[in-house]
This record gives sequence, structure tokens and C-alpha cells, in this order.
Amino acid sequence: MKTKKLILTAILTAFALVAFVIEGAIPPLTPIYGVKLGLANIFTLFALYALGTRYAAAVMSLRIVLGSIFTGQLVSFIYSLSGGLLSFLLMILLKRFFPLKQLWVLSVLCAVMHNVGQLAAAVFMTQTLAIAYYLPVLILSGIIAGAFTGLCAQLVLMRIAKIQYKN
Amino acid sequence: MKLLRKACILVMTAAVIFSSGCSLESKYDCEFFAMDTVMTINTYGSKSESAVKAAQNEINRLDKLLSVQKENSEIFKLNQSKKMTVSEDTLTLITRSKEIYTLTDGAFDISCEPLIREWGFYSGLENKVPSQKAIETALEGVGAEHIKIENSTVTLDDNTSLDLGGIAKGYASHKAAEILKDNGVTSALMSLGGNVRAVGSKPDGESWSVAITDPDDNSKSIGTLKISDKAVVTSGGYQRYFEENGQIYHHIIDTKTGYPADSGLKSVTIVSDDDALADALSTALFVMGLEKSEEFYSENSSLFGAVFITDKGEIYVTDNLKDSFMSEQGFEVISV
Amino acid sequence: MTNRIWIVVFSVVALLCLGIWLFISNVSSPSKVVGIYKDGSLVEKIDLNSVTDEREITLSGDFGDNVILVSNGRIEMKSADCPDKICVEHGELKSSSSPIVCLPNKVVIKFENSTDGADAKAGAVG
Repeated sequence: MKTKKLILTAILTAFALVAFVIEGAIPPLTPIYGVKLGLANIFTLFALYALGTRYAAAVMSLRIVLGSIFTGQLVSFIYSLSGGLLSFLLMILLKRFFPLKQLWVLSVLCAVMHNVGQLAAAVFMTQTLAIAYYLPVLILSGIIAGAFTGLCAQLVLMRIAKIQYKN
Repeated sequence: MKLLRKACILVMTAAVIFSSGCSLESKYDCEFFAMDTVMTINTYGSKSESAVKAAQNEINRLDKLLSVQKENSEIFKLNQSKKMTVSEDTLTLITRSKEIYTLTDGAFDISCEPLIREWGFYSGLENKVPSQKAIETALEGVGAEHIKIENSTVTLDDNTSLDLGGIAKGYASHKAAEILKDNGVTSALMSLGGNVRAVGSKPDGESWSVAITDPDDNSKSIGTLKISDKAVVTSGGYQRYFEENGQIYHHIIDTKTGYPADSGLKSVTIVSDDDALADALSTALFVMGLEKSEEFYSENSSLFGAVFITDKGEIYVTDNLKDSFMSEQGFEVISV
Repeated sequence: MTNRIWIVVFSVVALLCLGIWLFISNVSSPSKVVGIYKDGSLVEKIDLNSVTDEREITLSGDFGDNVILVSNGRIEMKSADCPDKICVEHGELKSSSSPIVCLPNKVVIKFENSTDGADAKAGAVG
């Protein structure tokens, strides 16, 4: 059983990495840091609901570390990490309030938190408060991106659950 | 119930994140109207609120005492009766004003009331260019020799009236700053209608930065001064003026001519430990013009520092301020 | 049922953010004075209206150089050695609500209020 979960974790991490790299290769929609879909989160959310907190943490942290190395963007590491940590804390804190049917809600909350965390890190690193003007855009983009990735994970998980019931 | 818990957790998380971004230093701000202008007091520290209230009361008290226009003020009554025993504050200010009159060779003169009245710079009056005759009549009562002080009794000549408007705000900010300090406030910044007074430095120990209004566009500034525990007062023709037949007449009247000072300056900013002096000198040096002010500075450089903006838009800064003044524009330094 | 509540909540928040963003990004900066910041400290303050000759400002950071192009009434990031180039994509600095940011090199270019950074203003009227 444990081995199965480990393998699944590895596969999900690989998927997440691929999604991350592909997304990074697409030119950004807007010249604003943090406005992106965050496709890799689909796999973190999937791991959280299918495997549990510890496995999700593994998928997430491995993805951040390896992703930063693969894309050569070590700078974004610190921003990614600060946003990632915040949103992950929120994720495990709130997970028990959101059944599978409301996975997308949790995803939105986490995505927003992720963007807010990243922005806070950016304000801190550059010591320039003016960047906080981007807060509304980042909350908006967090809601959209969070809903999208959340729904992706939720729909897949619900399908899988159905199949399992049938068997 | 569940939703409530969710909401609670969300709010708490948010609170933790945002509170870490704010400083724990408590801040108390107050804005009020006195002496015909808007005043703001910003303080830092735990005991600020009561201290600010006390400072505000003091400013209101002085306003009631020193106003030229309020019918119950001592100055109003003195101007009516021409002879009166006055309170300590009023006496101090009139005595001080006479000293500064002598110091500035008459460029600062509180007996300017009849002239200001002729030009209509009091509320309720209409701005107009007075006739030459009216100015000559008004000038008869102007000059510190028409004010006599004996013990605490002030006597004015028949056609003399006082207006402490050029020094009262400075005196008020000095008194207010003292009250704040007595109440344990170590960091505060006041603005009494553009008269700025700093108490101590910022809570983080840095100097306050005080911008100087751009005379051509009051929403902008022409530079900033880094100061702590000092008064910064600017006088400029742009602050109050009217236009008649295409000519602009501002409110700083040269008591030697009876006309708005035409000294080639747009504004004068004074930095000093002494608020009342800063207030009075900003007017006096504006009237004197740059050349005389340079002379005056070389004799009194220990008392104040100054920033001049000329009609051409050039900036001149006295050498004791050259390191604390910053501007995007270049500036000349006036040495002793 | 709860799904519906959440949809409403998120829609409201999203619309609110959109509104705020549209509002602040349409407020054009009253001044044409920009500040260039590196690691949080001011490198240079420029009044864009008083620029006559086009010039370049080069800042070096951990991730190479940022080249800023200044011309009359206009400022932009011409090139950057950082990997993402988001600051270059940003184009011209137009609104005080969207400063040009280069996170890798910690460079920020933004509009300054006239009294920006000042605690008080001497000689202000009323």
C-alpha cells in the first residue's frame, strides 16, 4: 500500500513538473508577476485528496525545488516558496472543512493566498510598497486560476471515485 | 456553524499575515480647524491621545486670545481701546515682535493691520487695490515706535492696530510642541496650516522629511528638508492673493511702501529651533529680498537656516541647510 | 447549496477586485516625476518632462544588468539580463498603479507623488 502511494507521488510530481515547465515556456499573458494558471497545482490538489497531506507536501515541495532548477529561475524560488508555503499551510488547515465537492473552493482560497504571499515577499525583497498596487489583479487572477485548477482536480477525482464505486 | 468556523480561520490567518506587515508602534492623528486654517498633529507613542487633546486645547486658547478678527480676543479689544493690560502670552508675543522688528530693520511689523485691512485680506472684506491716499493714511500708524509697553500694559497710538498673524501660528506650534513633550510624546509632527513643527525624530530614529511647496504648482513640491526637532515655516506670495486688471497682488505687505512686497522672491522657507522666530522671519526675509536676506543671514546664521525661491524659479539654500536639503533641481548655496 | 454561496462570494470579490484595478489603473499620475529604486533605495529621481536627450541608465544586479531607457515624457526598461524579462514586457511606465518591477534584480520604477516620502509640507495652502 505504501509503495503504491510512493509511486503515485512520484508520478504526480513528474506530471506537476511537466505542467510547470510547459506553462513557463508559454509567454506570459500580462507583464505582471504571479498572473498565471498554476497548472502544477492540479497535481498537488489531487495528491491532497487522493493520498493525504504528507504526500501533497512532497509533491509540492519537490515541484518547487526541481522546477526552479529545471527552468533555471532560482530567483523565483524564494517567491514561489513563500507563496507556496502560505497557501499550503492554509490548504492543510482548511482541508477538513471542504469535502471533495468543494475542492475548487479550497483551491481558490489557496491560490489567492499564494498570490498574496508572493506579493508580500516581493514587497519585502524590493522594499517598495508601491508594488502592493498589484494586489487586486493578483486576487482576481488567483480566483480564476484557483477555480480552474481546482475544478480540474475535482472533476478527475470525482470520476475516479465513481469508477471505484462501480468496481 | 461550519461556515462560521471557516470564516473565523480565514480572518485569523489574514490577520496574522497582515499584522506582521504593520509596525506595533501606536499612532494617533488629529486634524482640526483653528486660526483660519487646517491643523494636523501626528503623534507616535502610547500616551499620544491625551497629549494631542491638550495641545489642541492650547492652540484653540491662543486662537481666542490672539485673533485679530474674533471679537473677544485680547488683540481685538486692544485694537479697539488702544490701551490695555494684557495676559502673559500676548505680552510675550508683542515684546518678541518688537525685538524681531528691530532685528529685521522693520521688515517684520505687527502694526501692519491697517494696511492689511485696506487691501482687504481679512475675511468678510473684499480684496481691492487701495488708493494712494488710503495707503498713506494707513502708513501713519505703522511702525513699532507706535507700540509702547509698560509692565504688562500695552499702549497703541490712535491710528495703530496690531495683527499677530505673522507670528501667532509659530508661537502656537511652539506651545503645542511643549505640551506634547511635557506629556511624554517624543515623536510627533504638526502642521499648522503649512507651518510645520517636528517634535523629536521619527519613531525609527530617522529625520522627518518636510517638503517645500512649489510656488507655481501647490500640489507639487520643489524639494525636501530632513529635520528633527525643528520648525519649518514657508511664506510665499502664492498663499493668498487676488488679481485686479491683470495684476496680481499677494498678502505679504511691505510696511515701508504699503504695497505687496516685490522683492524678487516667490517664497521663503525658514528652519529654526524657535517657531515664532521662524514664522516671523519667513515674512521678513520675503519682504527683504534675496540680497538683504544674505546679509541678514551672515549676521544671524546661528538663529536659522533658509531656502529661497526666486521669481525666476532658482533655489538658494543657506549653507547650514545644504546637507539636509534635497531637490531634483540644482540649487545655489549661500555662505556666511 | 454551499457551492452556490461560494460562487457568489468569489464572484463578488472578483468583480470588486476588477473594479478597483480598473479604477486605479485609469488614474493617471499627476506628476511626471519617476523614481528608480534598487534594493529599496532610491537610485535616481527624474522629471520626465524635463528630459531632453534620450539616455540609458544601467543598473547591475545579481542577475546581470537592467538597462532603463529615458526620453522626454517616457521611461521604460529597454533590456534585462534576468530570465523572465517581465519588466521589459511591461513596456512604458504609464500608471502609478502599475510600477515596472524586476524581481530578480530588485529594481522598481514608479511614479512619485510630488511629496512622496515627505511627512509634511511646509507652506501648503489651506
